[in-house]
Amino acid sequence: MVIEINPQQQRKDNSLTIPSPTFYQALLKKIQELHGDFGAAAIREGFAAKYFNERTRIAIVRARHGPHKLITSVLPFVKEVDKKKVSLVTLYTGATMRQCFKFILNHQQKKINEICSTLQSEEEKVAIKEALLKFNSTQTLS
Amino acid sequence: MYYYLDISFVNQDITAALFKNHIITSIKHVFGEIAAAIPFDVVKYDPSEIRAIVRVTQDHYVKFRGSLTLAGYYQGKPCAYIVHKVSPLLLSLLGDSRTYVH
Amino acid sequence: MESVKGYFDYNVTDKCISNNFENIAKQLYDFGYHTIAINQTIDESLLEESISEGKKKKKIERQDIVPSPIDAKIIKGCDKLKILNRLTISFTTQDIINRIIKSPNYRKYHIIAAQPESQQAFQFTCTNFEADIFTFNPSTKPNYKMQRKLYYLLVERGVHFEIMYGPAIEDSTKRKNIIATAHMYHSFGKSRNIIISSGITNSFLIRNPYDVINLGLLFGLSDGQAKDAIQNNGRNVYMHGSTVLEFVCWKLY
Repeated sequence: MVIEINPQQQRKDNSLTIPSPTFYQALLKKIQELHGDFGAAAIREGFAAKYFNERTRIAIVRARHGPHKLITSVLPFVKEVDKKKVSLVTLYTGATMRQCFKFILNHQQKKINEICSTLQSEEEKVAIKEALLKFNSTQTLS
Repeated sequence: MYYYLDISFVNQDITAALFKNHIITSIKHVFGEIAAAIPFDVVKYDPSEIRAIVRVTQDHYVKFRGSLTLAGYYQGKPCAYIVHKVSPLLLSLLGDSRTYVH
Repeated sequence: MESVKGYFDYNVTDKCISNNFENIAKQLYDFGYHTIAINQTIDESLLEESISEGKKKKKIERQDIVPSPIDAKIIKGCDKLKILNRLTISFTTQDIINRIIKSPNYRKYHIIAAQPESQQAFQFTCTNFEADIFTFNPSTKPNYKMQRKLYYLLVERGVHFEIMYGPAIEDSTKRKNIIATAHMYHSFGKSRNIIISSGITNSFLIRNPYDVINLGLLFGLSDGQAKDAIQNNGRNVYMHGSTVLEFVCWKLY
């Protein structure tokens, strides 16, 4: 089971740098608190933080099929990662990485469309599209 | 649906409140906060023998009994929970076909 | 062929025995375990010691690295309690195995358990080694990767996988390792051929057989499998152990 998460910081706006191991540790700690030794042991098999994009703040976490429920139940309770305040939003639960990437693409597309509807110049639209799709440096919105 | 357990505690004399507290702490260690909210009642407590009758709902029975088994220490000293009888019917804790002397 | 009955407890450590054997055996019998096995472990540190001592002497006197099995006397009031001897071999390479098999004390043990500590040792147990039980050390995470093929290889050879509940009671990290390994057996092998044993070091850790069955449920076993784990599979281990012994005896004579 693969879970997709969108962490949003309370203070800063863009680009969140969280190394994968700390995120993994933070989740593990929370599960230890909420589900005890049993939960921590049950998910340890096959538990991995697979993908993390700094710009869009999207992460993919992998878990086995049974214990994935434990992780999804814990995600709303995670308040702090790497000493920064954070709130997590679960976007999608899928069975393979490919499905998750498909979802991320759609998600980005929707976001771009929302932003583009408020903008006027074509050039900026194209630039933003490229920026978000290729995960390059951020563009300032006029 | 409730399950009634007849359990005794092997270590030292403790009061009913501490007994319940210790069980909750054991559940928290093994199964976490979410499970520590398992509603259970100490129906009867005998302080001289440290023996109690505890009632749990059917859904939580497995976790409850598992954490009783895995409870190892009370305030640093080794301890044990011995479950004598379990039954969904309170009356059958008094006697059953295994222990009945014909 | 002697018959065994009652619930089985295959891992009563020798530390437990040296202090107060009668008491503990009686407790086990009262709880319902009618067949127990006293466990002695050997690991590679013993092999190194004997090698270094051998070099000092001029004549090569091979010491017997396998300790002789503890002699269990019959205890009053527990006539029906059957006591077996079990040897656990913890190893990372297969060199030590050859020496162990040749030692005369090896044949006196009823049950042999293998505790591989590395991928190579794990491969060796799956293919060549004649063990009855497959164990792991709960203090550390396993160093080897379990695979479905190897699991089923062991199942076909009649080897049973042991899960100890004693360390789970004492220590939080050991508890996590034990539960993680148990879940791993479930996901790779559907929890076939599993036995649950106590691994106790003192008398406070003994639990009711019904409590142990409930623990089996927590370890990912189904209802029927959990009961089997202390009953039928235990009997299977005894059968496996005694037939291998007879085969070895036939080989010699």
